Amino acid sequence: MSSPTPPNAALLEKLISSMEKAFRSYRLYEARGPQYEAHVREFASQAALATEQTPAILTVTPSGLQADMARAETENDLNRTWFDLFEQGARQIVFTTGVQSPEVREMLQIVASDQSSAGDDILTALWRRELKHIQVVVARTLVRGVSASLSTQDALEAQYGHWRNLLAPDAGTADKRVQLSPDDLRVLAVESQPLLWCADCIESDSEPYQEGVFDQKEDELDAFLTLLGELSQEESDQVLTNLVGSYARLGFTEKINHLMTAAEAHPAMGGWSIKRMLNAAGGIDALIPLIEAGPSAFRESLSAMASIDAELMEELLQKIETESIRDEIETLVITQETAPLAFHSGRLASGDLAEQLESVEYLFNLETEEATYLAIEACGSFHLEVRAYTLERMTKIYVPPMRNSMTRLFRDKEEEIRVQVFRFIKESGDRHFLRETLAVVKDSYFSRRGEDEQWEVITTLAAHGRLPAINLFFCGVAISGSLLANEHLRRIQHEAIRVLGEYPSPDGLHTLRKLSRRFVGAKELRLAARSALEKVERPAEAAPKTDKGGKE
Amino acid sequence: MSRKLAMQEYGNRLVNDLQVYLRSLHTHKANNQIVSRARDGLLTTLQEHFGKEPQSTLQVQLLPEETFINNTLLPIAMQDFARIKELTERLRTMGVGELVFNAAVTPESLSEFAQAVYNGMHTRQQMEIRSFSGIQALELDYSASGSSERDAHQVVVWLFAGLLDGLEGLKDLVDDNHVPTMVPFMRHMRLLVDLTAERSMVIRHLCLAPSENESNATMHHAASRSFLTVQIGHAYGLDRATLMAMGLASILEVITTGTDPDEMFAKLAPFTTLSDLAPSVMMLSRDLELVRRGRRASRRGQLLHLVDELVSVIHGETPPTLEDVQSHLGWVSGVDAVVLDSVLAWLGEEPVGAVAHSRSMGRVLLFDRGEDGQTLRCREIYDDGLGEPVPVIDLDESKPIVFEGRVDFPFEEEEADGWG
Repeated sequence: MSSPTPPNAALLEKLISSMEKAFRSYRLYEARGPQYEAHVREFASQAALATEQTPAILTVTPSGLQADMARAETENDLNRTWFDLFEQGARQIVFTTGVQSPEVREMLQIVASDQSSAGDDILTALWRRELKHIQVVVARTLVRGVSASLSTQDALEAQYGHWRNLLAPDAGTADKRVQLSPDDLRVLAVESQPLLWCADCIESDSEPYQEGVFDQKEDELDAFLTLLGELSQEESDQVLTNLVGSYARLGFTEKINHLMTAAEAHPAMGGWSIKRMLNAAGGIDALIPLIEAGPSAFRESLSAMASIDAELMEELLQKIETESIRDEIETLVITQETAPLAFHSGRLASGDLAEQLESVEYLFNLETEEATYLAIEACGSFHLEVRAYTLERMTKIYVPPMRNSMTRLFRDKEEEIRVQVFRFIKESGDRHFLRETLAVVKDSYFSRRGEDEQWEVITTLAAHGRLPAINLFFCGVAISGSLLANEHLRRIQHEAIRVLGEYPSPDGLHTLRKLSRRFVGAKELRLAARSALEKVERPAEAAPKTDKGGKE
Repeated sequence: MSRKLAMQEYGNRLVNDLQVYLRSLHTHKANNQIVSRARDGLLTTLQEHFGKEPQSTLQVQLLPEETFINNTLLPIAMQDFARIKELTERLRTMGVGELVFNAAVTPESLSEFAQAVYNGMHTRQQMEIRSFSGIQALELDYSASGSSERDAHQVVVWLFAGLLDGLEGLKDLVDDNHVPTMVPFMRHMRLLVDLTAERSMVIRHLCLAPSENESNATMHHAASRSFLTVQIGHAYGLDRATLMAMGLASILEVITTGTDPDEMFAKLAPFTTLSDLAPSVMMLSRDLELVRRGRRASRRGQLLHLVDELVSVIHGETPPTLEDVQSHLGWVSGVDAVVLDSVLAWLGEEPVGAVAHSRSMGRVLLFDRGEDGQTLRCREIYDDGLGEPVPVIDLDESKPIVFEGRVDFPFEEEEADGWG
């Protein structure tokens, strides 16, 4: 009988399979294109699935990943990626609940790209990224002591030789000696077991003393570049080439962007063009996967690239396979100087609130028809503040061709925006929107709207109660009350009675009379109806009051 | 073929030759003709390497599931795996896990080594003689994945001792006009940061114990500074990249000390393996030299300098009192008050790792802060060891707290069983 399979073994196998697929895809498609994207998404989905209830633990072997600790029964080809990771000490990869696509992407960038050929340590690079939901468990096999009857001097020289081999494999070790004294910690580590008495030390979890004390207040890279200018051209070139290459290999998109943007402007960067930066990073091809994964992170450098070297930009765009990303990049590379309309219009689609507000204001302030119609596109912004600001500006210059944008706000998901639209309708008396408002109030869903919004709708209509359709609507409202009506509904009925009194129509007068003679219902409504009726039937008395009020 | 691939290919051949040679001892005596042929085969393979690189050594590390040659993992094929595993286990039974060869190896020394293996194999005892001309047979201890908290303190010692070798190697190589790679130090710092989170008390005890070793004082000082800088940075919430940069700057200080700040970039420019950390490390190294000259520098540079001063005063000729240390640090120029306060707060008024006086017990080592992080515990100091950890209840404040801890306090052997 076979041993019981762990409940998530199948999920782990699927996770491994999707991970290997994503790794192959990373190399085959050079980490870009729709196929690669599909594999990354599948990998992220499988990781989320496998970690839904418990962490997913995968064992690293020189041949690849396994779902359990047992050595594979069949021999697989050695996989260079996993072999390197295993060699560096990785023994397990643990995915925990909450893992998402960006983390998976970062892991792929570090593990699947050719780090080791550049001399980088994959494990340390992964560790430094502090991925929240992907951890690598490390065996400390290469940290060890020597305890043998071999003479201490010989044993420690072997250790020293080991280090020299690590630091400079070609440097030779045979003729080197380490000066040791009996109380050298290395001697103690060999001859006795120092700190053995420390084994019982208790570690208590403690919070950091005070965060922020050692935060850098200035831009370190900027200061670094300034100082780099003091080196010889050859030296600074070497440092920069290495730096850009490292950023690209490790996937530090923000740092690449920052460095590339600084390249053209910084006085210390004499002669370092963006093109050279790209070459140092391994050519534009090396950056495309990073750009495709998040074009917006390259906003400044792409803009700089476009304004300095249009051909380079063209070359980049031709190599981007996914149309939507190509479009996004085209939007990003437009600058305020070269094409302000396109620049600000493009920014309306970005996620940043401050940028959107700035661009809407800029476009409205241009006061041209083209800019205005681009600005009112912000009615569809994700940010409430942007939509509110757009409405505020639009109401001041509203003309019927803006109807579609206003309709969008009329149906906005936020009550705050809709209320503002109703106020605009109240003031402007736009017939189209009054009809729409009347449709809203008659809709069965009206009662589900908030009381404040309902009241805003009622007062909007009330302001235009002389219009027959609205007047007739208020007739219905005035007569429909019941003893069980709450204060809000009675307030609406009072408003309806007021409107019928103020804008008398045959139907309105009939309603008021009917209401004033009613035996059931709220007494205050009957009295209000009678009062309104009296005012209508004694226009001579009411008119001077109105005049007086008007003069006041 | 890359150097690494070449080493893997060569390593596989060497380990196979070694296995054939030592396996032949299973059935034949060391002077048997079959054994001699196997020995000559092994010698030829060794000489192939030393003919090209006479100054180098070959380190073969045999672990239960993996075999390394000069830190390169060997891709052992499945058909060879069982044979190499058998070799590993056989050598392990006689207390050998690592073989180091150099160019001095001869047929005779290989035969002597084989004889020692033969004896160990047939008497089932530890190998007695371990050094032969051009061959060293060493024990190999290692701490495997998920090591328990209890033996992590041993890893701290290995890490410290390893760093001492690494610092010596770094200085030697730079003096010989080499540009060493910093990748091994980065791995070292990675382990240190992890251990700082796990065993910060052990690191304190290790680094705050004064060094009596004058010949190695510079490297001991640099290693202590690196460990403590990382620990204090960790305590103040710095991220891994920053901790690593600070540790690397401290390590590089052994070759940059005294460099004019304006020359620092030129000095470190060839160290391309600093990778993306180059800006941080170069700036920190420069800042350290700036603040040493009393000039303005970043707070991180100031922290490095202050920890450097802390190590200097604690590892001075006479064990200092806490007041001496506080006073010394207070007089360090070029350091912001907030940086000074941070280091003093980390050290504390009753610093773990120092020796105080208890009214009932006499001299006690301030040991840790208990499970709640608030209860200071101490251990009574006897001539032949330390007492049990107990909460401190009657500290004699009239007597000074002195930094005179030791890393080699005697410890009962029987209590040591069960670890390592």
